[in-house]
Amino acid sequence: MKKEQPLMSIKLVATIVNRGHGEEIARICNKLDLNVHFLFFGHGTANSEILDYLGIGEAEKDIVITLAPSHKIPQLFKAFLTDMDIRKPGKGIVFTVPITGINSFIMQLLAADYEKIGEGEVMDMDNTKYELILVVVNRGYSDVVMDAAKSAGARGGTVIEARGIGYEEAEKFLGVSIQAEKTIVAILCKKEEKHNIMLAINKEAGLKTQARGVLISMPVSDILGINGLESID
Amino acid sequence: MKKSLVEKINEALSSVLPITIIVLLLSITIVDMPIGTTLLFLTGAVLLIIGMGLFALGADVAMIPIGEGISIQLTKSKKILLLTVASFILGVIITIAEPDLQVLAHQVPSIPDPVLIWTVGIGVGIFLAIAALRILFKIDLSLVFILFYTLVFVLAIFVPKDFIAMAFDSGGVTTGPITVPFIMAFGVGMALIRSDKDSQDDSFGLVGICSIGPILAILILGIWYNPTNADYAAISVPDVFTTRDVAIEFIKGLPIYTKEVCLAILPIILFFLIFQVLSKRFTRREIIKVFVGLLYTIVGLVLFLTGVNVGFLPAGHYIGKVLAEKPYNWILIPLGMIIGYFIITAEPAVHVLNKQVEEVSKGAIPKKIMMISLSIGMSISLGLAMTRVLTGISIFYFLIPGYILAIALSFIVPKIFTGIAFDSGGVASGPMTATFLLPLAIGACESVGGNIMRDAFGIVAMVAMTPLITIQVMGFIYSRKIKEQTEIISGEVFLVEDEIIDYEEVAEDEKGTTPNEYKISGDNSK
Repeated sequence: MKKEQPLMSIKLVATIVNRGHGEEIARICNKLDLNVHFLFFGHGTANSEILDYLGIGEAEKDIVITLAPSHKIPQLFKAFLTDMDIRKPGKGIVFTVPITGINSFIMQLLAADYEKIGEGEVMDMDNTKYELILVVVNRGYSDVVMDAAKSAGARGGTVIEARGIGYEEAEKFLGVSIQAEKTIVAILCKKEEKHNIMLAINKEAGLKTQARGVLISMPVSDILGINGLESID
Repeated sequence: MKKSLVEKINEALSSVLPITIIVLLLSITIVDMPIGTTLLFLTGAVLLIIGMGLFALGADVAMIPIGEGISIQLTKSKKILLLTVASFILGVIITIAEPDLQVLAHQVPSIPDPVLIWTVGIGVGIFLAIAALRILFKIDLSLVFILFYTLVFVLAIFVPKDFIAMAFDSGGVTTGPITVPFIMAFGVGMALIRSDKDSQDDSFGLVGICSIGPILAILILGIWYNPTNADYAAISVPDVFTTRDVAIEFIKGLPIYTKEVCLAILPIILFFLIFQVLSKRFTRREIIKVFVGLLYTIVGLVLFLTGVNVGFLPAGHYIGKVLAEKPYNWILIPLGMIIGYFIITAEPAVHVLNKQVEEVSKGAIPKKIMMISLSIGMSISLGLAMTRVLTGISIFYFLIPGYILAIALSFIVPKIFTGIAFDSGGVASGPMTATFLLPLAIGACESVGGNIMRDAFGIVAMVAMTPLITIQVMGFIYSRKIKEQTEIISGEVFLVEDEIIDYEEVAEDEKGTTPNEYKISGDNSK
């Protein structure tokens, strides 16, 4: 079974848009027969401290995660450009992250109209100019993370409120486990800036601080919506 | 980047505009409204829009984080006694400060004001504690409602007739725009840090349980004092002729409502400060944000309350009076239904509820569907309330079947919708109902010569009851649809063999043969 089905590289497409526009993203994806998507909520980080104090700095965001075969990414990005003009400042960001495993049923769904594409069209993964940094900290430390990241050149980030799960020390209260509140900060940055940004965050919000930050970074294959370099035209 | 503020004002604009247009249309067609009243109304509408926008922003930045924070810390402490006592105290202090309760107390001269205010406050306190304990001990929400609503209806038999409508109204009235966001956030917070499968369902229902407190409290007082007459604050419509008169009316109103709102928020600020000192939950930056948010809430509510009390109350009263005088006064019923459909969006707490529902359900229950269900509920309740004003049918004929239906539905719809539905009862009956719809009913009742205590009052109780049914019906239809969808998908899944494809393994196995061979980009930190 494994050998018979077409094997295509699949990417995880993350789209971050203003709250309420997630449905639009899903519609565009559906048009290209990309029907596997999930939506969750996050919020942007404020541009300045004053705006943050005034409570009007953080725009609420919809985050849509879509699975798409690599060969459809250019088409998808073009659709984002023409259908919702995603390049306009503040409209949204799309980026893709390569994945390393998937269950075959989903693969078949995505490969429904897969045609074997020639060697020439294979995208070169090493060519990424951007990286995605994910920082998981204790609740309330997203400001600390962002301040540190900005001091090292990051422009903005997206905050997702979460809670821990499966911690061994999770406390029980009347049989129900009470989980720690966590905040995830996602920051997109250029490859060459990544190291410094992570160093700065680790210093201010790393595991040795009260924030107990866990930092990881991963390569971004394609990106659209950040001014400057974009890997797809 | 001022997007969120613009968004809130836009939302407020689209919420207040429909009802403004309806009233304007009425005023140029069948209700010949004096120009002074119209001017008061329009100025009120402007204040409402700004006030609602600020209030919604304040709820997001201050009230919700405080409510959530307090309940999360209390749950984390794992001390049942502390959680119970703190919930009780919180329920009492936020209720006795609620401005609407003061108004209610004045309406019942036969019971001393402080007695009534404290009894209702303690009622809410006890029920907030019950609501919190219910979540911890996993007692079914439907059972709680059956138990206490049965008690309510049994007690109602022994209470003087004139008193009953007001008692039921009090449940909706006391859960006002300050209490609702706070208590709602309290419930969401408790659910937020739990990892069991019921936690999302338990996010809602607290406001619904708390609404029972005032009803029981007033019924018990009614039996104890056995008042022969209840009175209501007579509506005095100011004579306004010039633009200056209009300005003076609003300027007179501002300090009154500023005082009311500040008094109502003060206990919350105090509780927050004590809580912060003990738990040190919030960072310095967050505390500043909370205080700015509280300022938004205060300014927003002052503008809103001034707008509705000075601007909307006379208009509502006048429309009711004139329409009921017409030979074709049955028109009150369809017109009431239209007004009801559109006025619900102008209740400030409704947006807070819809937003919380959307966030907790991660968008699975969209705002739009909530709003339509609430609008339909409100429309039905206004139709029933106007029928009652014109005919004088006893409120029991509506409330008893209504609550029986609501509780019966709670056994067949998913639990989360039952919680949301009972919460929305308290949410829908806010300041807009008290200052526009109640005067409308009173005005109409005056014209047809009905018993105001029995027929006009009770409109709040109606407004608080119908959403229980419509939201649950929506939940029933909605969950059926979602179930159908997932069944289709899972049906397909069983037909095929499912396994995990590992790209790296495959790439190693068939080196060079796959066209899209996958490589991880190398470490590039150096």
